[in-house]
Amino acid sequence: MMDELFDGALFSAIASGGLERPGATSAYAMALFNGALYVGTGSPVARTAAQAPRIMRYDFADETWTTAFEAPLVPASARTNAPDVQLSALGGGALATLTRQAGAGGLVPREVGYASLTVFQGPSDPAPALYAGTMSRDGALILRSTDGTTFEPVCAPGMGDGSVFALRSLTAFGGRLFAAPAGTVTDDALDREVPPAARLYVSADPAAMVWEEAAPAGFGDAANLAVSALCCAHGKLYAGTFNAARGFQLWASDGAGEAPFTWDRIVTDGGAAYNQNLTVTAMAEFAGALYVGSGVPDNGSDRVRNVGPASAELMRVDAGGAWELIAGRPRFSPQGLKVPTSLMGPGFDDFFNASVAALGVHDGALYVGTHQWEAFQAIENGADAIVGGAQVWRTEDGEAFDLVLEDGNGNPADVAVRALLSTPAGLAVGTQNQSRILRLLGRTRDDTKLPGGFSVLVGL
Amino acid sequence: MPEPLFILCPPRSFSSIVCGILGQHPECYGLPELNLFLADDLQSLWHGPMSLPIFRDGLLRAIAQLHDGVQTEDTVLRARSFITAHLHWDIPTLVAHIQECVGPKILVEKSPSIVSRPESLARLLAAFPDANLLHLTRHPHANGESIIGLRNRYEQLQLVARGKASDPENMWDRCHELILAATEDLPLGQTMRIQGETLLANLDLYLPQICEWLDIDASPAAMAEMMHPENSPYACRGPKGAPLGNDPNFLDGPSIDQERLKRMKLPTLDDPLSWREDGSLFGPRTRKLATAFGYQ
Repeated sequence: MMDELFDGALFSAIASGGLERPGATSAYAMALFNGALYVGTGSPVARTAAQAPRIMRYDFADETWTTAFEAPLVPASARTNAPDVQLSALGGGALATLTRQAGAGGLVPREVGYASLTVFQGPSDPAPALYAGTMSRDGALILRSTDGTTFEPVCAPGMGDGSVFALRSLTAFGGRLFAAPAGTVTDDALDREVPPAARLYVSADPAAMVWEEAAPAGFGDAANLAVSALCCAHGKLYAGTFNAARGFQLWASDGAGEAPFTWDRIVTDGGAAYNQNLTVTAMAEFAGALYVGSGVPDNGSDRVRNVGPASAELMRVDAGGAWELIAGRPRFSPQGLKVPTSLMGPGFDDFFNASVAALGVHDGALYVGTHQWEAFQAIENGADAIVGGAQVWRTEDGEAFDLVLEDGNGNPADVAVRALLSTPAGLAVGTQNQSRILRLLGRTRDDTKLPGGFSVLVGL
Repeated sequence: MPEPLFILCPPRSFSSIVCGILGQHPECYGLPELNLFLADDLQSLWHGPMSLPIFRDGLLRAIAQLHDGVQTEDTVLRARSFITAHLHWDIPTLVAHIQECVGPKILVEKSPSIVSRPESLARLLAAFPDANLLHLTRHPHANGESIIGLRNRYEQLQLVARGKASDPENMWDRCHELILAATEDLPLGQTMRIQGETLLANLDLYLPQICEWLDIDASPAAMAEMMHPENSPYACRGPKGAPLGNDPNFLDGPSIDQERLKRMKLPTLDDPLSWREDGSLFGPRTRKLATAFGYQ
């Protein structure tokens, strides 16, 4: 199989340069809806009309892109220019210009991006509808569209807390739709990761705008700072957390009865890697098992919470709750000696793979997309060349992995694969591009004008 | 011969009891503190760092035991003669001699003195690039209190513990950072890390895992042997001429007190530090490392 794959280019771009909007850095989410590919795009620092995030639609037959939805413009507020704490910690003054885009008193996009897309049909939906979780400095929304063109909010901003930056991990399970908040925005600061409270919301009929809490905040553990990922497997809903004190936790519920549901803790302490497994970053069900990708978001260090550097890990959880380490650091654990079954260490043997940014299943194989930040290190070290970029790994058995995309597919600024989706045209790969940040950090170099804007690749 | 097992940790990290336990495995041989990697060769070692008698005792006891089958004042004297007759040996040659005396068992050794200098760790890895390395941790608060307690008991330690570098927090940070730096690029699985508290409170859970890692017998019989570190010939005070060679507390009470171990409570990173007159708590450097090791 892999010999065939390497006979030619494995992926080709169906979108690049943020689709003529280089400030659109990320293809955060993808979904198939009414036969077309929808891609949620944006940038955490989108502050002008020209940077307004969009939900893009790709028609497979015509091979054309159209704008399905573009964030409406709203008056700027104090929050518009609130500095991003992660970027501030990363680049200090060098990245300050990223926060000087909005004109005071001008109009700014209501959202900065679309973090999650999923198709769901509730009692009030005449047909399966497309739901989008937004990232917004005015309180995240969940948008609903029945036609793929008109998107209307189906919840109050931030589910009633306007400081919630994002609603992500939209997941349909047991006839309900779940969503988890991420990030906090105030007049003073934006933290993209940790919400005001580690809540998980559920609605049996989101179109009716009825949402309730699906679990106690943080599953009753104050150290769980966010519900960071959701996935259905084994007839259960799994929820991964962000936990800077002890490492991620994994919880599961069968969704029986009414919310809040009963949850069981499946994994704790980051699978005995403690906070080097800061958070669950992606999950997927494959071949009857749950695959849990983890790591430290962004560049492997959470400078806000003093964690890292660390590299990505991947584990596999069976229906009974037992887990195996697939890639990561061998260790002793309460569940026995854990040796990676792939024989690959943290980061898939690449220190710069800081997290598993996306997992997807396509044509009988599991794909792992990484966040690979070597380009930043190359600039910091004054390396002769800027190298690195996101990787995609492929496995048919969950243990033997092949690298099918590396070096950001030729652009080291494409640091992460944020979305993977099986489509009729092949596996779709949505990237996150950080050329602008790299240019600012490497402003004394003459080789940092890397292509900007997200890409969408299709292949395999 | 099998690769040796070196336990890497700062002083006062449970290394004596852990080394004693692992050293009692039928396929292992637990040694006292040899402090071998403080110099490149026996001459430099003996007349350099080992000028301090406390650093000589372990090697003298080991040579006496291995050559004469017993540690007495006389056999220690003979061991001293042997060493001075072989000062031209380099350290790997000396270890090879010890291994030859021991036979085909895994040598288990720990010398906390070597983790405070990168060159010592580099010597170890240069001499034994494939050695198994167990990175043992202890909560920095408990570790610090233990260090202070020992210094209070021994005036000599107080005299040498001066300056910022001797602050227990700085010692803990530096030693662990050096261990991490020395081992980060080693092959997968060559270095394993474990909390001493967790290991000692759950020996039945973690000892088989350590055996599995070392690829040695993990049967109940082997476990039973390991539960008796006091059976080691080095688990007691030595004779005149080499009275120590290990933590005095361990030498005076080498048995496993499981009830006491299970009662052991972990402090927190926010607990007051008794050795700080200004009331300051652990800094971010320590907290980052400690939480990465699983401490709160």
